[in-house]
Amino acid sequence: MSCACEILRIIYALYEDQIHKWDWRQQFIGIDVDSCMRSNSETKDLIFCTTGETNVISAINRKGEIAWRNIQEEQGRLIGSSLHKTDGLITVSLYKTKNGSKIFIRKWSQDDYGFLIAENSHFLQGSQNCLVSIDASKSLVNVLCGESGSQLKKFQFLVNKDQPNAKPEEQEWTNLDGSPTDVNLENDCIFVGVDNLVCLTSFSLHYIALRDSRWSNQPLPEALPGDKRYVLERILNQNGADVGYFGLKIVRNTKETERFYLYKVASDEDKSGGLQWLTTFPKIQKVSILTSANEPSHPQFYGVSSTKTGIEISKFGLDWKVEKSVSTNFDCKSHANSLHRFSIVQFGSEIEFIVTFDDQRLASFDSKGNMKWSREEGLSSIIWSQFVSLPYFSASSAKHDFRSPNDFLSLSSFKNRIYSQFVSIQEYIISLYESFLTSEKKTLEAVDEESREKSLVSDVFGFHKLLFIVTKRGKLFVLDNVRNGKIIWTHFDAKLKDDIIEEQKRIDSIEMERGRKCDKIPVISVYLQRHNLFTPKVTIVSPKGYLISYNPLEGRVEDSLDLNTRIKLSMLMHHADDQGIKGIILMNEADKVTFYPESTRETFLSHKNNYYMLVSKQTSEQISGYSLRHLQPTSPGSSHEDIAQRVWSLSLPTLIGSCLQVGWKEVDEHVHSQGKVLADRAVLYKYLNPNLVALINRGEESTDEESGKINVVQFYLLDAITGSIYYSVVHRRASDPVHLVHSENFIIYSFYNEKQRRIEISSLELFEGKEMPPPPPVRTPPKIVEHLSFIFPTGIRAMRETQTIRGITNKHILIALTSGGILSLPKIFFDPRRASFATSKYASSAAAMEEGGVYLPPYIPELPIPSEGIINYNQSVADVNHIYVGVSSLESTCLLFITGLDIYYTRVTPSKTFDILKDDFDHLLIIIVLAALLLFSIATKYLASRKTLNAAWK
Amino acid sequence: MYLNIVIFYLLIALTKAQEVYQQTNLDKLLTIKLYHSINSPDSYKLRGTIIIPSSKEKDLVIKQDKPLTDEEINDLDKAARNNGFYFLKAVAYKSTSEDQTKMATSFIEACSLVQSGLSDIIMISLDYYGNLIGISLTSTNPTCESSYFSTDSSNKLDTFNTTVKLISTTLGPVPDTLSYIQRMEQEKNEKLRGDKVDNRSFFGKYWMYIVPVVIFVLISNLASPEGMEQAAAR
Repeated sequence: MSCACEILRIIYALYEDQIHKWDWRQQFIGIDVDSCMRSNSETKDLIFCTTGETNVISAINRKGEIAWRNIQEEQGRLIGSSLHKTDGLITVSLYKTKNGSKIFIRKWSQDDYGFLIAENSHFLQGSQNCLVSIDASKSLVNVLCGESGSQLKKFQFLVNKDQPNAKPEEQEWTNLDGSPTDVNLENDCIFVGVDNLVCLTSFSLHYIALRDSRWSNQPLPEALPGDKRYVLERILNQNGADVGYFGLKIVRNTKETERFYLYKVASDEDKSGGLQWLTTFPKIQKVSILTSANEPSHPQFYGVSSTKTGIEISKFGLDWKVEKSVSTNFDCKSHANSLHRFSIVQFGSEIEFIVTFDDQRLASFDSKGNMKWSREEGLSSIIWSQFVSLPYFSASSAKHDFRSPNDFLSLSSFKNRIYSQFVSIQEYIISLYESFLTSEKKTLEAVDEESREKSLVSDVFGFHKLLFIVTKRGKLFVLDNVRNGKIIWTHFDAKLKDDIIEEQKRIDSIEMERGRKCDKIPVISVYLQRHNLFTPKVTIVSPKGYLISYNPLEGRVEDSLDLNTRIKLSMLMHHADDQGIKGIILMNEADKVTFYPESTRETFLSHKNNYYMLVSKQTSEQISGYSLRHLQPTSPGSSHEDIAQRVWSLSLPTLIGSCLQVGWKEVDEHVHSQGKVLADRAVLYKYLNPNLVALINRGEESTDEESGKINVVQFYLLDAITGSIYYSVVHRRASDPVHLVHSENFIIYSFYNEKQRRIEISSLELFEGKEMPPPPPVRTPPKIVEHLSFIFPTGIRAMRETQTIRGITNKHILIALTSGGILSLPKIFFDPRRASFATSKYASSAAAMEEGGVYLPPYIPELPIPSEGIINYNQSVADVNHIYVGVSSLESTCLLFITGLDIYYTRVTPSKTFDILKDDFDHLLIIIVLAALLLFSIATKYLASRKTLNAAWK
Repeated sequence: MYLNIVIFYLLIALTKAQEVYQQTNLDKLLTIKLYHSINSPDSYKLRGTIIIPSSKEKDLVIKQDKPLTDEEINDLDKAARNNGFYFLKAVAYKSTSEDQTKMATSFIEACSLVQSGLSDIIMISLDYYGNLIGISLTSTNPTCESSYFSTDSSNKLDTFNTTVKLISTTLGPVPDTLSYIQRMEQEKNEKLRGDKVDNRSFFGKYWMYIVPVVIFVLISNLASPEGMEQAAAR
């Protein structure tokens, strides 16, 4: 009896063998590697790497896998790290805000675990630029902060576990003699040795030994033409320590290094003082030193330069001649060959070079130039991702017929389709035959590089897709979503990288000025221009008007174009031209409109009455709508007619430091049902205006009342065509972080309630009422707006709804928690219609809430976090930024790609797998049963006919 | 003496309070001047004024005395035939000061306005403090029919028949913990009460189970002596 109970009970657990069955996770150490050092303990073969922007400290083993990882404050930035001989790894991070900065100094153990040994933090007034130098042998950390060259403040910390939070020794200099004007400590200066500061201005090299308190300067080695400039370069040894050398290099605009001047700062004993020029290396980009304990005065110099086909690492002798050099080759179109960091690690007598490239690829080369391992750290900074469908048979077999689908609506396309079906059947039969012959199933992992193209074939259920990715460092990736995120193609574009970094800096400086960080400001826009299975085309639009068209299936750049104008708005057209390409409408700051590609202008003109554009800026309250109805089919570029006409404008209430977020619906979202069936059999129609946008503006309210300034979150529903506000609500004493989900007829957003100190989620649903809504062109406001708020017990990092191919499956809301879990919660938990139930006489009767066979749970103010709702079980995903959703060909299944410091792929089935047979489904049994039934029916038919015949004879 | 001073201060305080009251009332008063322009958004002319004394719809005052000139009617008709727009600009004034506080523009397809017989609907959205955010213009006939122009509309349309709707910002809903706790309490009480009411005797509660068992036992007792006798007879 109890046994039967055990079997019948539904078990929501995961078996060990199901881990990573259809999900995978990749972990990263982050971008902007600061330095890599080898553990000083002789038994442990670990390499410690610290990353600046991501603020992560990690240890990598000799296979390039993460041994441990410690994630520090997300807003902070790592500014220095150094290794002590026996004691540990010292790191310094800086957390900057408008009103104050905080320095965190930490010491980590050098073993397999990376324990925190000691910690010290210090608060500074105002936004500070700081430089750091670490004397690991004495556990001393010198942090030099200041606004300009004349006002400097030095803090000396002793990192010791016995004295946590010991006060630093402070030393301040004001009005220093001969200080360089107009230098930014962070950008133009470097800290050399323990107390030497070197700054670069456009004319000279400035130098101060802090013990002397006097600036001196030295002219630059040569005058430069406009397209070249000088850059200061730190030179560290294998322990991340500064031994008094630094570099000055000349770079051209194309980032190519021309010359590398090596300088030495005179030490205390050397009375000549000042900066000492040692030598000049040609073409060297980065220099690193190897010091040995035996002869500290004779360090070995290693330099690295990029060549046309890869990089070259050289070792310099005592006479500064190249003693030995190795070069290594790789595809410079797929990967960057310009260098970001260069460090040397030593394993006994073996030397390994750890090179970080500009695309944030971390690679280790041995002394012969062979690559030992490489890590694509760029994947920890994904700013855009998209699922791209694969064709049903390999593109190579369809090379001739499907590359140019010129005619979409003709007989030949029908013929093509029939042919394609025929080919796919043929391929299927061949593959069956092959598998019969070889009698062993080829696993996906076994597919080698050669047949890469052949393996890019969709499976029956459409689970196999490509993940197209753009990273913060301008690298494009195409990953395979079923083969554990294997990289299929990469492409590095230096121009895109520069554009993204420049835009990010611009946003950062605006945010710093306003004292508020608006997270999730999209830097670039990406559009799937052609949805064809064989020739998909994605186009990336950078804010500076640089466009790249990429074919993710073939890993080929189709086109790149620099418009040299700042793009205010880019928008994908709904109508495709006869080539199947959807045009992109680009509007620059002067409201001039261009089309990409230019040929889609014709398509646009035939639909121009239907297009309106909505323009908003993240940091402004002004929102306006544009029309292009007056556009004429004139020759492009010649007329002023291409200026878009502003048809409506409005300004939201002014907030200090406002961040505006605009939530559109997914463009090609399928809504299966137009209404909801109520308990009384009436239909409540959904409000499905495709142009409805949700706006969330947040900031400090600037009232002139005495009550003081308070943070508010304002929410609006706006029709993007007419610009009319349909609904507006304000949450007082509420602030960041705000997350927004907008789909079908519901909007869900979360914010922080400052008064109650908790995260709240607000849910809206819009209805037309119980009467059939008017046909589409009529734009009316929603008649019923249900709005209800909930308490969410933990922090939220990202929020998204599930999408399925036809929209029949119930929606789930996916919430990335701060703890690293991904929660999938049924939409029904957020249903706001219970607000009106609460006040009605049916409040207590559950029967009134039942509708269309679905029971609506009673309103509970706090949303639950059921542990079976955590879809990534124990595979925590660190620092999630975004959840990307893709659809499979199966209605029940939704594909998820979660990005952040880690990346995680999985698939969810919100209504369980109702359209798929279970793995253990007994096909044989059902066939036998069916056959038996069939035979039986035939037999009984025969017997029956014989019986009637016999009866007739009687 | 002291009393006098107290009364004097009281009076001052009262007048101050009244002033403040009036000021806040005046602060709420919003005057919106409407300007319109046909076909291009750069030649705005005054169309009328809307006065909003509070954020309640019924107190609205609309003044649109000036009828359209013949030229404007012609322009509008032309725009309607050529797929043109009719633009509306709203400039808001707080009544305490003359300088404008906010401005918003909106548009409508000219044909839609003409075909509705100049009956338009203006939606004005206000923020939490009663300031203007935006306006939007629709008409009672939102779709344009091309057949409309074939019959010559000789009846002159020169005055607007305007409906104004106000959309004001409200405070967002807060999680309703109070009523939830109340409901929980209520359910708990009901449960407790339910427990108290049911203090019948054991037999009173379970008689329906006990009676059949007793009857069964009785019947079997009645039947068994016969069986025993029969068995004994054999």
